[in-house]
Formats: sequence, C-alpha cells, structure tokens
Amino acid sequence: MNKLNLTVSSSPHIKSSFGVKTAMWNVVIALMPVVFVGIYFFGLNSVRVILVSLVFCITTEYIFLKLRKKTPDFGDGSCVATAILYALILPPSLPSWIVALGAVFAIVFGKQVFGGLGYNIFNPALIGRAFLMASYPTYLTTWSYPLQHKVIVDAVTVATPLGLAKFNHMISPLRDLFWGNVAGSIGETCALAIILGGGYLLFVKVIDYRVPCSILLSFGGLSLVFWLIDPQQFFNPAFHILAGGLLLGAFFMATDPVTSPITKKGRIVFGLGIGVLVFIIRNWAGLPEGVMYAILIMNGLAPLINRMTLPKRFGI
Amino acid sequence: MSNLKTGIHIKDDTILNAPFFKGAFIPKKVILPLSQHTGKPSQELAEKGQVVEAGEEIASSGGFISSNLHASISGKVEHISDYFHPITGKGKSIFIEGNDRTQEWSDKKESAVDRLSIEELTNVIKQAGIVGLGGAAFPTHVKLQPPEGVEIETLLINGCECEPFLSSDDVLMRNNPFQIIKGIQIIQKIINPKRVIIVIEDNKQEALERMRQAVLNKNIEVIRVKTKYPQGAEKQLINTVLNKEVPPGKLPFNVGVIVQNVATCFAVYEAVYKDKPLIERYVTISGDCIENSGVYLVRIGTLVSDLVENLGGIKKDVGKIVFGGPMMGLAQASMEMPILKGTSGVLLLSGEFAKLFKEYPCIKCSRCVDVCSMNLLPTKIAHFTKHGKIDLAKEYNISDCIECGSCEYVCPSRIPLTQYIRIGKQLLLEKKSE
Repeated sequence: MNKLNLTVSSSPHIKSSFGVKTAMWNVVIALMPVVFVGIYFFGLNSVRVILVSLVFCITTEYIFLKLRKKTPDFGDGSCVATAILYALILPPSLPSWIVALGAVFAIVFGKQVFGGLGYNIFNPALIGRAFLMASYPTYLTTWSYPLQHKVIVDAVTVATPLGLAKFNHMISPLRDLFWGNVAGSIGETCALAIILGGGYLLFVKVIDYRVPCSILLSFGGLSLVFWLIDPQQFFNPAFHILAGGLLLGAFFMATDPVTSPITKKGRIVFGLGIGVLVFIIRNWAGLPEGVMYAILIMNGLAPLINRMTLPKRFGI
Repeated sequence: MSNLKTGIHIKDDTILNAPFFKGAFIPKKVILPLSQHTGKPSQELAEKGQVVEAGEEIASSGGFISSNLHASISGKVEHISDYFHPITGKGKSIFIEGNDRTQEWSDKKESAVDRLSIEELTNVIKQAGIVGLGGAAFPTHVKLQPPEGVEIETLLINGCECEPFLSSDDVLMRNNPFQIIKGIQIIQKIINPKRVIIVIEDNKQEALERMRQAVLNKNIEVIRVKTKYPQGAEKQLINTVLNKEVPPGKLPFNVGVIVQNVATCFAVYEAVYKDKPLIERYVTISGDCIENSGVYLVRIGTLVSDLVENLGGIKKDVGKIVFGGPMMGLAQASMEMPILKGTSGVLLLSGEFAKLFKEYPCIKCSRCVDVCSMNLLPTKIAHFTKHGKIDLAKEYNISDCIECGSCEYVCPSRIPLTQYIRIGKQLLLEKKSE
C-alpha cells in the first residue's frame, strides 16, 4: 500500500471557482466599454487621467502595504478596479497633479487607514473625488467638449447636461445622453456603455440586482411623480436617469460589495435611499449632481442598515 | 415544481458521479465500533473468542437513545478494544475475523407481517438496530415514537440525496422500489399519518419513474423537486415540500412531520419481512483516485482499505479521504477506517481537493447570506467567533446553523466559514458549561 499523505480539514471539501479575483477582475472587464467610450469622446486626456490614476493608486497601495508589513497582492485586482473607477468619475481635462493627489487620498484615506481590502466604510474612488471636490471645486467643475481631442488642458468651460438643466433650464437630447456625446466625467456620459458593463456584471453574478434596481426604482419613481405633478419645474425621468453619474453610480459604485449592506432587505433599503438622496440633491440642493454624496452618505449608513434589517430567524 | 429558495446549485457533471450499482462485498474481517449512532454507545454482549453468525446481536442498546449492534459477518470475535472511529476519533470496537460461512434471509409472507401489532413492529425495528441512514444515524425506533399528544400529519420520505457525488439512495430506489414502499407502509402503520410523500430530486429520473410505478394504487405520493443543495436536510425538506418552518431547537414532529430516509425504509422492510438486522448498506465509493467507483452493498464494519483493495486499488495519490459527501462529510486520517451504519459514501480524493486556500479578508459580497437556508449571516458569525465575541455570535443565532457548508462553498474570499461556526458552537458550549 502506498504511503498516504492525507489532509484532514473541515468540510466542505469542494469550493466554487468564484474567488475575490474573479469578482474584481470582472469589474475591470465590465469597465472596458466605459473606458473605450471615454477615450473615444475625450481622447488622450482620458488615457492620461486613467494612467496617472493607475500609477498613483498602485504605488500608494504598495507603499502602504509595505509600511503595514503586509505582502502586496495586486493579483486580487481591487486596487486596479478602484483606480479605473476613480479616473472615470473625473473631468477629462483635470490636471495630472490633481488626479495624482486624489488617487493617493483615495487609497490612503479611502481604503488603507481602515485596514485595506474589505474593511473600508466608504467607496475609495468616491472618497478621492469628494476630497478633490472640496479642495479644488473649480477644477472639478471644468468640463470639456466631447470629440475635441486636445491633450493640453484648456479652460474652455462648458456645462454638463445636468448643469445646463439646473442653471439654464436646457435639456440635452436623450440621444446624446444615450450615446455619450455630451460633456461630463470620462466615464459617465455614455449610458449604453454603462448598461453593457452593468449587464455583464449582473450576468456573471458579480453584482446583485437589488442595489441597482432599487436605485433606479426610487429615483425613477420620484422623478416620474414630480414630473407628472409639475413638468415645468421638474425634468422628465428619462433625462434624469440618463444624465450625469446615476447609471455609473448605480451599477459600479453603489454595488461595491465592501461598502454596501450584506442583508437582502438592507441592500434594497440602501438602493432606495441612494435614489431618494440623488433626487433631493439634484432638485433642491446647490449642486447639479448628487450621486457621489448620495452613495457616500448611504455607505456610512450601511452598518446601521445591516443591524436594522436582520433576516427573520428561521422557524420563528 | 417546488424547490429550496436558498442554497446552492452544484455542478453535477463531474467524473466523481458514479451512479451505478457494482455489487456486494463481504470482507474477511470487520471492526464494529460500539458507537454507530446518535446517543449512548451500545453495550457489548459478545465475548472475546465467541463464534458469532452474521446477524447475531453482539451489543445491545445502551440507553433510551441508543441502538443494538449485530455481527455483520460470521466469524470469531478476536477482541474488543479501542480503535479508530471515523466520527469521534477513537472508540471501543468489536473485531470479528470471518470464517466464510454465509447467511441467508428469506422473505416472510405479507399476511404474517399484517398480523403484527404496532408495538411488535416498533420492537422489530428496535431489535434490528435500525438508525437513520441519511447520515445522522438517529435511532429509528425513537423517532417513530413521538411524545404523547403529538399528532403526525405528514410522513416525508427523503429521496433527495442532495449531496453531490453520492448515489447510494439513487441506486437503492432504482434497485428496490417495491421493498422501499413496503418499508414505508410499515412506518405508515406505526405513526398513522394523514399524508405520505416521497420526495426525489429531478436529477434522478429513473429512480423517480420506478418509485412512481411502485406507489400506484397506494396512498403514497411521489413528488419531484428541483435539484438544490441542501434540500435533503430535514428542516429544508419540510420547508420546500410543506412550506412549514421547524422552530429553532425543535424537531420535525413539533410541526407534525416525521422525515425518514429511503434507505432507512428499506432497512425497516428487511427487518420486518426478513428478520434481517441492519448489517449492510449501500455505500457510494467514489473520488478521482479510485478504480471502479460506484455504489456497493457493503457490510457495516468493513475497512475502507479492504474495500479499496478489492475494487482494484487506487490510481493516483490520495490526498483526502472523506466519509460522507463533499459538502458535509468528515475527512479521515487513515484508510483503516470502518464503515458505520450512517456512512452513505466514501470519497477518495486527490491532492487537488486537499489544497488549502489563502484566506482573503471578507469583502462583504453577501453571497453567504444569500445562500444560507437558515437565514443566517455566516460572515458575521464567523467574524464574531474569530474575535472571541461568542455572545454576539449567539445573538446572531449561531446555534441554528446546520453546517451544510453552502456559505463556505460560495465564499470568494475562501474564508472557512463553516469551520469558524463549528468552533463558535464549541466555544458557546464550553461557556454554558462554566
């Protein structure tokens, strides 16, 4: 009889092939249509912003993990996903040094100070952008025209569809919003690309349908009701859903597993809350857009939502 | 077609499935641990040097929840001493050296069985040392005597066999449908339920057909459910079929249900119709390391090593030996382990199944929450256990966990959730006893 070298471990003895890497790299794959459309509309500026973000996010993560005496592991893909997401929510003409500053902030204060992967409370990419929004509001609201391929930072100020709507009461054509031919952050303009990527994530079961569906439900529902009541004052729901960062936020930001609730009911509450907050900020606050703050606020509430939506005990 | 709402779908098309009956195996020696079942170990009757016949009682029930034990082959009792035990690690066992004498059991007439009273039938089942053959090995005669005043509405017969790679019940239902039905009718007579329902998962079409033919003109239903793990667990099965939830810490009879495995029903048939005690059972021998994988009729107490040798040996290095299925089975430290009454399968797996994964931090993806059929938050409970917060683990109902392993199966961070929960339960017990 052969000599046996047996492993005695606790059951189960089989595991699904779906790992953390699968989840994170699938997010990166799903972002590709958005990235390509961003490059198509905003040219090399998009490439520049994404590359600066990648370099600074990865370097910062590396240094921090070394300082924390951990083995750096970029194979899990979480840092790459954060870097790309962060770049996609920035204006294409943003100077590189600001991109770099926000990237470092996102990794340090959005992720590593909490303990790294899995422990952060807020979405790191959004933390990075929120920091820049507070520090350099002018740069963060300077937009460029799509399809004007200039690498040099040009202070040609144009407004985003939501800005135009809020301050000039002008509605951009839905067709342009759908294809992405409008001013805005690198990754937020093309609804089609975001829906493709989000659909892929739903299909491979990386994200749960509850969060995006409940965001669209509450936001779409509120937009519809208010538009029906007063179509002069409020914009139609289709415009509201396609414009700005709502879709990108719903499919790629709010679905970040780490910063959303774990209970089934909690995920619905979380999504509904984001939809309501976005609607409130867009219509009654000073800013034209509110997806970032809405998600960050609900991120902060996620642990509380978990506690308040504990599942019903089996058999009670 | 109903099915479990939670739980997991495990890919079934692996080479590890071996749903074919390959024959019976009678070993030269057997080692019978006195603890074969849930409850108190049996008390030995046989003495060293005594010659016993297959089917002769060699140990008797050691308490209210306990069971008799019978010699599974004819031969001489070599000695009675401690030996490896697949579940408890070590336990007193009876060693029998075979003498090649065989034993036959013939069928009694149906009319003779009809004359037996409920008490007599229960006694036959008790005498025969029958325990639940689905895995838990709870003494059947105890389960068939619910407390006074409890009315049993439904008898559920479990033919789900939801653990992947195991086909023992599948083969049994294909080979012996009429005998299983006779066993069910005996149980039916004892507990007198309003409904009897046999539940079979839809990956066992042939078994379904055979069982459906066998229940024609009888007051027994056969229903098909979608294949889903852990649908065969008692509480989950009751939930799927009857849409009832067994309260925490309660047993199925609290909601008017008794669940019996098909193999147990077959054992009841053999005990009543043939006076044959529980000395053999269908066992799935599978895994990527074994030649001739399949389902075998194996005597209780057969050593895995004997079985493997007889089947043609192993074809690659064994990295893990599992008693039971891949989801809930127990890994063994040796091949010299005896088959118990509750052993439905033995898996000989290569190193591929033995590799240990790097544990990533929880990314709170909530897959474990979504699959948990007991509505628990496995990641939270594991986290509390890891950090010694047993009170919190208790508050999150750690004791409700049935340890089906679904959460760990789906966890992308490869956190050994089930293991943490087991540790937590242990810590909770220790805390209570303080």
